Amino acid sequence: MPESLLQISGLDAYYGKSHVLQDVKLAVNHGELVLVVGRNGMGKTTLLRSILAFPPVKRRGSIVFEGCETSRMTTHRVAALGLGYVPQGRLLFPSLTVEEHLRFAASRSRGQEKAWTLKSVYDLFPELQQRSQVGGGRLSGGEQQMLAVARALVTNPTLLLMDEPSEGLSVQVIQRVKDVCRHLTSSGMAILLVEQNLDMALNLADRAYVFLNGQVVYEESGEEFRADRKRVRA
Amino acid sequence: MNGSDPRLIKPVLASVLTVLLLSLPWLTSDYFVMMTIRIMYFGLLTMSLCYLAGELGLVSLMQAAFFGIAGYFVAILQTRYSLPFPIPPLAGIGVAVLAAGLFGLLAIKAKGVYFLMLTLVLGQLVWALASQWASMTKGDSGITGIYAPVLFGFSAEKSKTVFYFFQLFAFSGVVWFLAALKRSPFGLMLRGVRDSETRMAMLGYPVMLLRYLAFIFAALVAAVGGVFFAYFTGLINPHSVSLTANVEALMASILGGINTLFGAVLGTGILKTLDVVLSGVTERYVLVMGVMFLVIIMFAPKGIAGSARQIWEAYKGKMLSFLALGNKTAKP
Repeated sequence: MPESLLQISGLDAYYGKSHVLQDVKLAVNHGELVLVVGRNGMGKTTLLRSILAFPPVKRRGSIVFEGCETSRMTTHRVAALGLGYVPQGRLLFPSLTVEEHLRFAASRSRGQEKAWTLKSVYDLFPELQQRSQVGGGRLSGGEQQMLAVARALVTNPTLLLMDEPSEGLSVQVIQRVKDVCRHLTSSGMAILLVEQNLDMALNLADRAYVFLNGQVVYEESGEEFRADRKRVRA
Repeated sequence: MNGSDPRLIKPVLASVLTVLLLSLPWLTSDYFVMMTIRIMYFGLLTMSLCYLAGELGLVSLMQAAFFGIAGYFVAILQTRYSLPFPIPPLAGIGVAVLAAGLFGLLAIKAKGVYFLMLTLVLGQLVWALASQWASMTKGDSGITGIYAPVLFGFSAEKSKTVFYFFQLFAFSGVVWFLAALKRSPFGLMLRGVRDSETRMAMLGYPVMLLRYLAFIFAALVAAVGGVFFAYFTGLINPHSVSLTANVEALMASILGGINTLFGAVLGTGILKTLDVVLSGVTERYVLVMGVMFLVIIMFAPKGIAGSARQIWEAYKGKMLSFLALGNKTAKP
């Protein structure tokens, strides 16, 4: 079996004394969309923060990305390995325009073949090009989400980490985000999608994990997951 | 072509300014040239301060220390060790940058008032060294006899015009460097840091390193100013590394506006001109300047350049249509 792009095993994560993630085992393979679902407070965001080594989270266990053990690395080193992050709440900068957000993110682009450039993200999100000179704080929710995705894409990541991208968006915009996710995985990018909105993510997933109280309580392929969900509903 | 095209305003203004600056020694008196030289080197100190304040939201009280370190090194290497040009200025700037690298390690983790306090302490440390290491710095009386170099057979010491062009060249280089830095991805990242450090850190940017580099770049700008100060006045003493010198630059930046390089130069220009003009009119010129600052802070907190920009943005449409109308009526 080929090596996974991201391989997490025996991961424990703590905020201070609070033991949030417990013995998590999870893998993301090249070009697949892996869905992590669970209610609020189950450790989904902490999982992404552990992968990216954000300072308040303390980690124990192994996180291997493209054959590189990252559990002792700092956030900017981990990010530089090829992880694109689309954070919950988008985290845009009010004093930077759309184009400026993209320009500075693009400066961190890695690899020789730069598939994602300003031009190609504008092709994917034409509305961003129209608003290219508008400040990050003056965009609609949907535009903000698109900018957050575009900003991650121009770094040309191999794995995209998306934290609740459907939050606060209209049905039409959610559909747009889903289309973009499909487009990205079909072009070979892997996505780790953390979602509460199961309806949004269900059809996208190649594999799914369910988190409960910081533990993985369910792991199945996307098809099995969809079938199980039908059975539960029936 | 329509004469009121807003895209043309900047290049036209830049060309006029370039022509004016290049012909200044022939248009005005020696005194005016001398004032412009002073405005340029103090302007670099103010720019250094404005760069940190504008890009990172950090007010430093030790930029004059880097200005002075470079000046002192020029003085010491030239008068004591008789090293030829360009070694003293290059070494001076290099040492100031190294000092910034060292002090930056201590200062850059602090924010807000703590950064202010730390830079105050570090700045005072440099001042104490300049004042008390008398065997090297000649104490409070300072080092005299610093001569500006001979460039391509022209002596910058003997001719104000040569000195003016020497300084204009370096000054333009630094302005270009800072402007390019502000527009570069690095400059955009710094603005991200100013907006929200946490967000930048969460997106995987090395916030501390960015702040640290900005601190070093700012010191470099101040150091270039210090070199020209030493060359032009022929003297360096502890006053040039003092808190007073730093506060003067701070006042100039408040007057001009901290967010633009132009504001830094404008503020320094106004401050230095008023210094000369008002002190000739009244003995209480400091009081007059104090009142003026109060008015500026209360009614134009973004400084003169900032307020002028706001007015321009508000009335741009009207002014441009007025110009366009003028153009049309002028045509037969």
